[in-house]
Amino acid sequence: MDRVRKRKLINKIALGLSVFAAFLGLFWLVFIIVSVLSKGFSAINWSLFFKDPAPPGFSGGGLRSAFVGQGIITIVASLIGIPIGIMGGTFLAEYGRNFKFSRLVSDIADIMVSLPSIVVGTFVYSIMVRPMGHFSGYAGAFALAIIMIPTILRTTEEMLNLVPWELREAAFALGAPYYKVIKDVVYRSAAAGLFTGVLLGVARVATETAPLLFTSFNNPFFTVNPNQSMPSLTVTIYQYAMGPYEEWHRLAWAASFVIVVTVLLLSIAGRFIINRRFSKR
Amino acid sequence: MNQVLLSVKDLNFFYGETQILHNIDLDIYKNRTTALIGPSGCGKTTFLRCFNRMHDLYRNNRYEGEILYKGENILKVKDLIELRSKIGMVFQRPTPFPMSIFDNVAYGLKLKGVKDKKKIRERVEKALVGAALWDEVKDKLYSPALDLSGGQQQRMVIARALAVEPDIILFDEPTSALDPIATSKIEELLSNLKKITTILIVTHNMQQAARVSDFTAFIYKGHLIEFEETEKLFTNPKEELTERYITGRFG
Ligand SMILES: Nc1ncnc2c1ncn2[C@@H]1O[C@H](COP(=O)(O)OP(=O)(O)O)[C@@H](O)[C@H]1O
Ligand SMILES: [Mg+2]
Repeated sequence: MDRVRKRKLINKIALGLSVFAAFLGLFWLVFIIVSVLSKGFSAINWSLFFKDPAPPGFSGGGLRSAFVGQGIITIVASLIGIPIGIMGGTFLAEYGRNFKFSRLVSDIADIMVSLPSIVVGTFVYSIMVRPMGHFSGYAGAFALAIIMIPTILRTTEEMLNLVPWELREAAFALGAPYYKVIKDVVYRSAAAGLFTGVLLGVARVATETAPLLFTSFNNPFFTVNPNQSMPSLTVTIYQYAMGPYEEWHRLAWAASFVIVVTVLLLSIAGRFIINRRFSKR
Repeated sequence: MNQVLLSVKDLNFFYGETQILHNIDLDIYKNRTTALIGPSGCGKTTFLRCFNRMHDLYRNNRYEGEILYKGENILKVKDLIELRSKIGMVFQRPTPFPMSIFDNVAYGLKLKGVKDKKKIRERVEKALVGAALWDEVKDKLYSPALDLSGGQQQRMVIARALAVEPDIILFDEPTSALDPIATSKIEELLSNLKKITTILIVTHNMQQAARVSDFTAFIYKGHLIEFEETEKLFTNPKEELTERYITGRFG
């Protein structure tokens, strides 16, 4: 009888602590999102998207250059990162599933997912920026691609592993060669999951600042040439938030607002697709 | 008259070092249904998967012996794509591909390089009619195959195998995942199918073997114990082991 009471007590304490921890985490999350949304929303206007930054201290500028730069860097990063991530994940789950080498790559990718992104920034700085002699959008994109690849690689591998082997065998049994089995049956079955992996991978790099500081750096002028230093939203937020001008702070809040909302939407879209995929049969 | 379609001669099979099938000799007759029965784990699935070389998908699997088909040894054939379009397979659980009903049934034809749209349509319809599914799906050919019920999916998979007009279809316990009504539909279908093709079916269910097959092979621990016309095997088995198995007095 006593043992039961003790167990119930311990249970209650553990429950209380975990609820408290959950609320603590949730509190800060909500606090951050609400303050970004409330401070950022009031700073949103048309010139934010259509004007370039005004000279320091002057008001009325926008962040067009940073939006465009962020867009270009993210797109170039995706063009590198998505195909490599998907193909790598496909190799791990399909052609190379029996190789010890594949397990190793998979484990390394897991570690890289949690690698501090600043390490990637300094790495790209040393292999690209230094030899080229200048910061560039390409270096920034490359750094983001490196961060994106392990995420997409691992989700791809996991999503493909969820496709039952029987389904592949059924396609083989009709005479399909392996690449057609993958293209017609495996990718189709895992399509929603793959798409979600890509969304989350892109969302993840779209919020990175540290790897861009050492690679694409920043540029006060509008540019679409990734071979020069290039402005990005995250680095701009970082600099403006540190800067002394009220106008800069306002723009930084506005840019944060846009990033938070975009990432939120991407993540919700990702979750939504995954849930729908798995609630159906 | 019973005409031999496939002839298994002294077949041995190994997963790595473990020998699963031992010296199997067996003839499969054209336009007949042959059932494989035996206790679970005796090697029925393993045997079935030799005919379309499914074991080639995995490393360290080894065949010895022959399965003669049109004068060739299946176990030595190079063109597996051609072989598998002649020897179809239906699995235990339905395996619809995530595409429309039409695309599912047409998949094998596309693999064979059939381009003619009209011909594909005709063959798809014919296969669905052959699999007794046409009336149920003719108005929704382009909706996802995953929306069909389990029994319908299994018949669609049979249609998919039929569409390439195979010489034989291998069935591995095709009704074990289905309810009794869906099962009886498939059994009825199986009885009709042997007019157009040959059937080799693994079943854990002896009543099913008795209902659908013309010949029955009893396998025990990787050995073929007895092969006989179904009626004879079930009423008057030659081997004591067979008798003990079919009367349920085993082990
Ligand atoms: N991939 C495999 N590797 C090693 N052994 C296997 C493999 N698949 C099946 N076996 C073994 O082979 C034997 C026969 O299996 P199986 O052909 O599936 O039997 P059945 O279909 O008659 O139930 C079993 O003992 C099983 O454990
Ligand atoms: Mg089996």
